Amino acid sequence: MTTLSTPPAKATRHGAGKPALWRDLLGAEWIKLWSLRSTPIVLGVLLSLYLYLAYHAAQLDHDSYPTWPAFAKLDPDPAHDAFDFPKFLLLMATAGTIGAMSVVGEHASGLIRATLIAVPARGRVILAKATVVTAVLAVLGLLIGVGGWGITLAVISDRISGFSFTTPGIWRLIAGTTVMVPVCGLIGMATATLIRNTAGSVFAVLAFFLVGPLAVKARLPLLSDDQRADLGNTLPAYAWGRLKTMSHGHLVERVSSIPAAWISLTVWAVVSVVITVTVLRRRDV
Amino acid sequence: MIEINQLTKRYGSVLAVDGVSFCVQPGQVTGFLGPNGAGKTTTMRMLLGLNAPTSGTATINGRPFREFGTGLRHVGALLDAGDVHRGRTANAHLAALARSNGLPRRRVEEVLEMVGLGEAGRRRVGSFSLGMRQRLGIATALLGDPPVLLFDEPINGLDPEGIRWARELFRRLAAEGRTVFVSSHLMSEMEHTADHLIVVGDGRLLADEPLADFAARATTAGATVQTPDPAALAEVLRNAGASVLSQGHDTLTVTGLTTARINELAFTHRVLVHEVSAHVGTLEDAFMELTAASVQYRASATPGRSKDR
Repeated sequence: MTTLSTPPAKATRHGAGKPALWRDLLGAEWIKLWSLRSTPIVLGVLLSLYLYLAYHAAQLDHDSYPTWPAFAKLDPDPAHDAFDFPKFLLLMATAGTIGAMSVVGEHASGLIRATLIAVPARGRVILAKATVVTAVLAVLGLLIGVGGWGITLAVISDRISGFSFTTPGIWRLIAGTTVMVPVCGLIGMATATLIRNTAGSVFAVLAFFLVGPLAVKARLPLLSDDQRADLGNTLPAYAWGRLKTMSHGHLVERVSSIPAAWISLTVWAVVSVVITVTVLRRRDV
Repeated sequence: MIEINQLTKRYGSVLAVDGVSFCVQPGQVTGFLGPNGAGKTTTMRMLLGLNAPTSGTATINGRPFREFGTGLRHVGALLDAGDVHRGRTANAHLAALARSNGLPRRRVEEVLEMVGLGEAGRRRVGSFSLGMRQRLGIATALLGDPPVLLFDEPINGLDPEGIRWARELFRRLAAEGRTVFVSSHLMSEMEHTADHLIVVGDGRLLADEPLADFAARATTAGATVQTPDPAALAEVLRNAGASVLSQGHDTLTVTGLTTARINELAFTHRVLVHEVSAHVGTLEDAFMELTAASVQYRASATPGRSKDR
């Protein structure tokens, strides 16, 4: 048996040591994300679904093109069909749920305590998680953007010509999608940080992304139509909707400018991260 | 070394921890005892920076826990075996925590072997029994090979073999010169594990002393008396200032009087006594006496015993 007179060096080690490395914190969050069975399944299903939806829409355009009226043939908008607004509301809601689950999975299980005992610097821990969630969802958005447009081009090009990866606006659409998906994830993280309960967080996220965009289209008390439109335009869904709009001359509603749409997405991201970090830093877990 | 100084935590009107101060020394196992709701877990959580104290300080080797960059290398802790995402495998759970502290991946297999879960690493934690989750929690605490270890009720759910193993592990860790702080609400558990005891009740510090000193507190050792006329004898003994508890139709448990005095009283009052036997106080008794006043959640069906004391 070891004698007490010679304690190991570790027991006498003093000082707080170096902070945990970013590389290690990101690595830990990466392991956490991918070690859940649902992660590859949900991301895989989302990617396949939206590529299929793009293919399906392009196929419909391709098949019906000969029957189009002349004015429509003059100004086709295949990107509008590949990146159909109502269908993408579901993508936003799912991305928000993925973000929410990354936070609520820790709070609901109590894992957050083990995590913070391992690394007491709460800000760094949650920023690492936000970084990993953002990166993974950005890749998803990029793949859906590039893939959806690539499939559309492949399907329609023999009948509907004049479109390519250099069509004006297409990279704004792809960049907008690449940004929008992770922003939804960050909003989900902030929501879950505030609510902490699984069912409550998921409900709030779904309500925000699925009901929110519809609710601002209804008559709201105390708001004029213009104010209501301005409010709606600040939502991430309509900000993305503005960025993806490539056709010209058909905008009849009160829409925001392109820079305003970018700013709106940025503000949602920044506010979400600030909520996620500051609330966790102040709270007993 | 762990230093707790005037630590207080208030939740609304409830004072969960009330000005508690104590030190936990390295090289020995320190037991942290108290009834349910005494404030043990809250104290440990404040020590680990999970809850902010209302006032007071808690430091580990001279620093608040939140100042440590890589917690696992300085303090290993098992707070609640349930603090695990059930959807992950034991390997993945430990790998993520190890990675966050820059610990090599092989530590995962090492600690799983150490706690006897070497075969279960690839299983999802959701399929683990409570005992297995306790072992996983102990493995988590050991990951960073830390000089200070905290275990909150680590014995819950362990089988007899596991309890013996955990006891030996705590003693071995302390023998290696580490600070080992183990909470429990069971005195019998500490009896075989701890060198030093810290007892809390109702948020306040009740005792902070070596195990041997604590055992000496159980001075109210009583006597068991067999008599054909318990009612008469009980009255005599009560008049002499003893507390008497009737057990069965001919047996009394008496505290507050020596066996010699009981015999004398029986003799002078002409009550027949068949047997008077002294029983020595146990650690359990000392603990029960000390915390009797501060037990918060007492089952209403069994108040008799403590009421008569």
